[in-house]
This record gives sequence, C-alpha cells and structure tokens, in this order.
Amino acid sequence: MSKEAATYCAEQSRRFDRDRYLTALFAPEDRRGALFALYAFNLEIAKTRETVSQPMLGQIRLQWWREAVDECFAGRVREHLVLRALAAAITRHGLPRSPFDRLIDAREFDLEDRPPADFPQLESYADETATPLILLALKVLDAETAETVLAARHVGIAQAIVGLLRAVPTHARAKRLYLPARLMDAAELRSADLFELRSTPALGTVVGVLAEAAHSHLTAASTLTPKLPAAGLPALLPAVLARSQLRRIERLGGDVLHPALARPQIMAPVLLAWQAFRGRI
Amino acid sequence: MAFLDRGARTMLLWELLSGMALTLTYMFKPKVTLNYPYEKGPLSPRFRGEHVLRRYPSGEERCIACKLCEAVCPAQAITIEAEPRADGIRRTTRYDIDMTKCIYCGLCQEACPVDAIVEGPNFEFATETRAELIYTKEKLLANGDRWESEIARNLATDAPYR
Repeated sequence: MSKEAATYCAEQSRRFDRDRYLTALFAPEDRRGALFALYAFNLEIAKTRETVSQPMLGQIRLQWWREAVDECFAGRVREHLVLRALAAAITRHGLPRSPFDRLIDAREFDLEDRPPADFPQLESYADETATPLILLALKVLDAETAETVLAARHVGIAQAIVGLLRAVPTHARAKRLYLPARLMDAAELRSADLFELRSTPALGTVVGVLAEAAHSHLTAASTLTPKLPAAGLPALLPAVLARSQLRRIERLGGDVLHPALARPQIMAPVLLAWQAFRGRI
Repeated sequence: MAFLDRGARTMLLWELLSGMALTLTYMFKPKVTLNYPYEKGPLSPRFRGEHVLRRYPSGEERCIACKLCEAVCPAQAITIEAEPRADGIRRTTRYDIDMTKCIYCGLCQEACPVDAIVEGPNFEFATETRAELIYTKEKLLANGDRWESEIARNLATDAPYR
C-alpha cells in the first residue's frame, strides 16, 4: 500500500469517523492501514445521502462504488486513494467480496428518505450498515471465529442504533427520520415536533425503546467476551463507545436533541484503553 | 393655547432638532451595512459559486476522468477529454466549463465520486470578456489551490456519517 493512500485513509477516518479511528489504534501496527482503508471506504459510501440532492445521483454514486469494488477484485484499481488502499488490503488479507456488496446495498435505504416502518426494519438496516464492516475488520485481524461473528452482529446493530440516535438532530434538521414509524405512532411522537427540534416526552419513549434494544445487543455481545480471541478485540471495541454513549442518552432521559449529546467524549480514549487492557467489550 | 405651543416649537426649530437627535443616536449604534469589497456577508457552507478542481494533499489531482459530471450536467457546460498520462494513469487532457452555460445546480459535485469538482464559496469572478468565462483545466486547478482550505472546511461542516 502506498504511504500516501494509507495516510489519506487514516486522516479521513480521524476527521469524520473518530470512534472507529480510535478503536483501530488498538490493532497491531501492520493491520492498522487495512482497517483505516475499510473505515475510509465506509465513509465514502455512508456520505452518499448527505452529498446528493436527488436519489438518482445517489444511485449513480453507489453504482460507481459497486463497479469500483468489482474492479478491485478483478485486479484493476480505479484512481481513488481510498480504493488504492482498499485494493491493497483486499489482496493482503484475502477479504471476501460479499460484505462490501452488503454495505453498498444497505446505503440505498438512505436515498429513499422514508423512515423504517417498524423496529425489525431499523434493526436490519443497522445490521447491514455496520456488521459487514466489523466482519471485514475481523478478517483483517485474523480473528474470525463462530463467536466473533456472532458478537459482530450484536456490536454492529448496537453501534448503528446508537449512531442513529446521536444523529437524530442532524437528520431532523434535514427533515429525515430514522426512528421507526410504528414506534413513533404508538408513542404519538409527531415528526413536526422533531423537525422543529422540540423535545417531547414522546421522544423519550421512542428513544427509550431503541436504547433498550441496543443495550440488550451490547449485553449479548459482552456475555460472549470470555470466548473471544484477543486479536479480534479492536474490531469489536466500538461496543465500548456505544455503551458509554447509551449511558449519556439515558442520563438525559432519552432527550437526544439535547446539545450536551453533541459534545465530544473526552474520556473515550481512556475508556477504550482500559477495556482493551482488560480484554473486554 | 395650542397656538402658542405651536408657535414656540416653530421658533425654536423643534422638529429639526428632534430629527437631528434621531440621526445622532444612529451614529452610536452598530452599523447594519457592510463595507462590501472588504467585508462580506455570511455564506452557507453549501453555497454554490465558482467551480474548482481539487487536489489530494500530495498535490496529485483528484479528477480521474470518469466523466460523470459531464454526463449529469443539465446545461451541458462541461467538456472532458482524457487519455493515459506518461505514467499510465488516466487523466483529463481537457476539462472545460463554459461558465456562461452553467446554471450552478451543483449536480457535478454531487455526482463526483472523488470530490474533485466542487462549487466553491467564491462568487466574485466577473470578467471583461466572454472568452474569459470559458474555464480551462489549469484555471480550475488554480482555483482549487486558492480555495482548498475553505472548501475542506465546508465539506466537513455537515458530516455526521455513522
């Protein structure tokens, strides 16, 4: 991998995806580059909806990435710094093809601008957008066991749900919703209130349900901890950050519109270091 | 007595004085106008102004001649020609934007997979002749070098990707 591409990927994930960047720092030095490449690739496809104004353009971008990944596996690399780093990671660690397709396909949901109908749909969106990335990271770390794959799903879903909860104000400002429609109806949470950034008790109810679900996924993942190989830990460490964010949300009574939630977690590196030292997620 | 009151006011130029007092108060209030060429109004980070072609931090140009911007441009203002460079990497040999055709819709930057073409924050690019509004690749890259720091900041502004 060229140094330039590696630096670019690390810099991108440091600036735009600090959580995953911090966890990647706990990987052995020779694997870090590949992890940064994966996380930078995830950024490139995750930003699709924020970049485009029309679904068609989003589809064009995603299709470009689909073909670019195709060509990576065929040995031709398009001249994108992230792709150059990614192609190197793919050949070096023998990464499989299907998680990439899952990640790209999952982002098509973003373009529809339709809230998920019910919780299972949100859960599957969370699963598809976060889990394949963890699976790829585990492959890079040579830590693919039955237990880590199981834990990856729990961590992925929890991490994505917490991420969506933290992004509620940003999405609301863009008049987008990721809270399940059925839950919103049941709690009588009106989208108009959300779009005007008015926090209501109903918002707390909906967030509470989602936080509870994320919490149970995190608990399920941490019960697997004794069986997890230490090498795979950096891929699963996002669980630690997700848990501490969940605690913050609970302390605010589920008011995800509160400005305190937007403040950076200063203690995140210390927390990660402690948990990595203990070998727990 | 109204006649006396009115007469006194007229004699003492009361209306004139009250008008001047109002003028005087405004001299101590903050100004609402901008000293335009030196001061500029606020711009949205999504403002779509003059186009630039960006480079990677290493100085290598980002554009890979995929021609998506050319295809998506509703005004057909972009013309691209490409061929492999001496080192075998495909690059544009010509990247022209006809700024008289451009409608500043921003679709080119939305379609660009490498974030190469961006509509920057510059809105002051009036020229004396039409010919100067046919932007070439060199001009666009030079624009990119000049505006890179602002553009990078604007791109980072709304980015809560998860």
